[in-house]
Amino acid sequence: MNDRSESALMTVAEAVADGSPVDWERAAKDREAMASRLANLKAIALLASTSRALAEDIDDTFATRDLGSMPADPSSASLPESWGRLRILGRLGQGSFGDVFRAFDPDLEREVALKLRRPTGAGTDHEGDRFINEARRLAKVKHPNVLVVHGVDRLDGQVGIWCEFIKGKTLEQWLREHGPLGAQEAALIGADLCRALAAVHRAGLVHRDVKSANVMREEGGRIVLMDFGCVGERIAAGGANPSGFVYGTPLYMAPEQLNGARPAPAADIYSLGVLLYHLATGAHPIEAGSFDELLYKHQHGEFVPLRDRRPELPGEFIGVTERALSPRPEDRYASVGRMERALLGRPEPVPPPWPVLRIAVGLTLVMVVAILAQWPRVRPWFASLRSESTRATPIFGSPTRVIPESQGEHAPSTSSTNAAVIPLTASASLYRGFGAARERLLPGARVRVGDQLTMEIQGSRSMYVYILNEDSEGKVFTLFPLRGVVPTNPLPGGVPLTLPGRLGNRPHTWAVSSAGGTESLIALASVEPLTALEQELTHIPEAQLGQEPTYTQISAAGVRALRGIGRLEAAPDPGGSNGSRLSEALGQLSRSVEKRSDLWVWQVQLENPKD
Amino acid sequence: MLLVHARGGDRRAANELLRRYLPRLSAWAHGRLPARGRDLLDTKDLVQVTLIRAFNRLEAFEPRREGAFLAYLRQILFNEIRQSLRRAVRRPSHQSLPDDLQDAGPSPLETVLGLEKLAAYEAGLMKLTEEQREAVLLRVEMGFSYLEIADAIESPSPNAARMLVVRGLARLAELMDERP
Repeated sequence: MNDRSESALMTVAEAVADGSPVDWERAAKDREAMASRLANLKAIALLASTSRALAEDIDDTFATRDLGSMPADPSSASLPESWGRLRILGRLGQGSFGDVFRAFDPDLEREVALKLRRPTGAGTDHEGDRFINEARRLAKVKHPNVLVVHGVDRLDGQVGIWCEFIKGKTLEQWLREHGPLGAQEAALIGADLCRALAAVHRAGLVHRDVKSANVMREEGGRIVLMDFGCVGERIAAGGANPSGFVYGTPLYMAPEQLNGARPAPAADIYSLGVLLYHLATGAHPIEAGSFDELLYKHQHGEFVPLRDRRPELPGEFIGVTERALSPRPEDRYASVGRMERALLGRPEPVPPPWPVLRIAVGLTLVMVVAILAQWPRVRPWFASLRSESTRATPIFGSPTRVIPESQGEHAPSTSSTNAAVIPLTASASLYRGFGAARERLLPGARVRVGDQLTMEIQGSRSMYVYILNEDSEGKVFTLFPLRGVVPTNPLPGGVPLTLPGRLGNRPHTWAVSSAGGTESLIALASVEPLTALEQELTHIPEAQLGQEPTYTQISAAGVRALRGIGRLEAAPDPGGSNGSRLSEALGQLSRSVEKRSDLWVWQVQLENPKD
Repeated sequence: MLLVHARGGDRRAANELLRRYLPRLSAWAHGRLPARGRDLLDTKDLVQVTLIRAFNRLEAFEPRREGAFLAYLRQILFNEIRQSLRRAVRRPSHQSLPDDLQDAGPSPLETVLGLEKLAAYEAGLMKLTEEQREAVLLRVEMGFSYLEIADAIESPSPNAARMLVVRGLARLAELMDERP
């Protein structure tokens, strides 16, 4: 090794030893020759941060467990009588960062938890200064779901922080003892943590280590976010990564955080997503055999879909959790407040005047029925429909389908009825609002969150109608038919009908509940039931009409995986250039059915831009 | 010095040492045992049993300083975990082990670093000088402050301990590339 590269390595080694920030990407670029040794140092740095995280897990169990089984002597000389004005009552635990004591604060007249930090001994105690400053800022965060910090001080060079004394268990302990939680319980805990983090973020702080071992469930059920007040090294001010070590647990860390980016609220949202996933399954979304694999999977959203781990979970919960796990910060919730709203199933702040059948139009929506996972099943059906138009083979699963290509050219082959030979023509219009105030939407019209949509459709004859929605990501949802809603297929001809229709004799609408790009609304009408399509639709979870809607959302990676599993596509094609998108397939289909009198296809694109 | 008392059979000193080392060594073992479904308390039990055994063998070992003693305990624990995992594979019903070692998955550290890097790290660590090895593992694995390291390895100052860690890390990064 030459001198220059040796000194370069020493610089990084110093940073790793001290826990100062290292810009790994730049360091690797500048010193390509050193790449391998840098990778080794990076591995050591990770080993160090993982060891710290594990030590905290241990600390937690020590803090709450009866220490009687330990060979400790309670009268040990190492137990101080007091620290400042605080009277030490006993030792709660001893961890890698220092000791935690149960203490009595005579001023506040209450018990507190006192954590005394070990002196670092490395000259000026910068870390101690930062610890004190940030604990002071944290003490200003007042929220019922945030650990109350009573005070921080330095006595004889030793920094101590005293906080609320909580009797309870961490969520990690709870999980180990009771197993995974139900979606509702997990969502309520998640909502509490959203509120806690909102208070933290408003104070200009980022927690950076949201995980099950850092959340207490107090006896009585209160959820308390902790372990930033008492482990000050991990408090992040708005500025640079304060003490260098990549704090936090790699399994919980957002990809940008793993890369050493400045801490931001979006990283807390990601960690909260991991926590929700963990609470519901006991597992972590990303598991890997090496750090590079871990980072790659975090960066590409390659987690095991929640649905695969627990098929019975409500789609709404899965949707919120997996959105929080988006690799790109901008794809996650814009704030913890928004995430809380979604967790509580309140995505739409304006209460609608009518009972609303919420549909998914957009990225993160509340949606009634999701068939996005079913597109692989539906696609061959469309393919068969296209091929049918040229090969004239039965496609609708009905052996008696007899439709003339043009009137009078064909005789019905079997069991035809008069109705069967009346050519189908139809017209449809999409409206925003309802009643006299409704406004017709033309192709390309803009819709926004809160809009309530209806479709008026009129056919020349009795017909089977199917209405689908495809969003800009290629996710598909059924809008009609819906169980429990009248009218039902077949719809009568000759009269205008407003869809989705009535539920319990009350008119319903589709409500746009979030934004995101371009939406395709596709309506199909057919003389005979499209049985193949209907069969596919039976695989789709039913909407719970009249109740708070649930929705299903699967990540793009999940959709690609599903497409691949069915061997229905040779290769994942998220771009959809070969017609893998429903709307594109429909475009080709509608051209091919122009001359047909048994099938009518109508498609309209709507713009649904984000704010 | 506590260590001297412990070797002299002072039970209270031994208890104090155990109390001091148990959290850190438990965390250390936690990182090296399969993560799947295992209770932390099981880890601590394993560590505690191992440490008590180590204390009973103290007569056979003459650590010159606390750092060497901790490195010694670490090595005993390392061997114990390796043997436990082997036993678990060979004899699934082995009584003294947590049941879930039977379907041993990767440990947290294996998950994060990968088997290969972790093995290279261990091999490299063993090739450092004794003093460097103690300094590095106390800093990296046990989270000791420089002041604590200076105490443990009887280094003249925290800054001297820091330089020892830094040089040890740089050397270790080189050694990790060497074939075993």
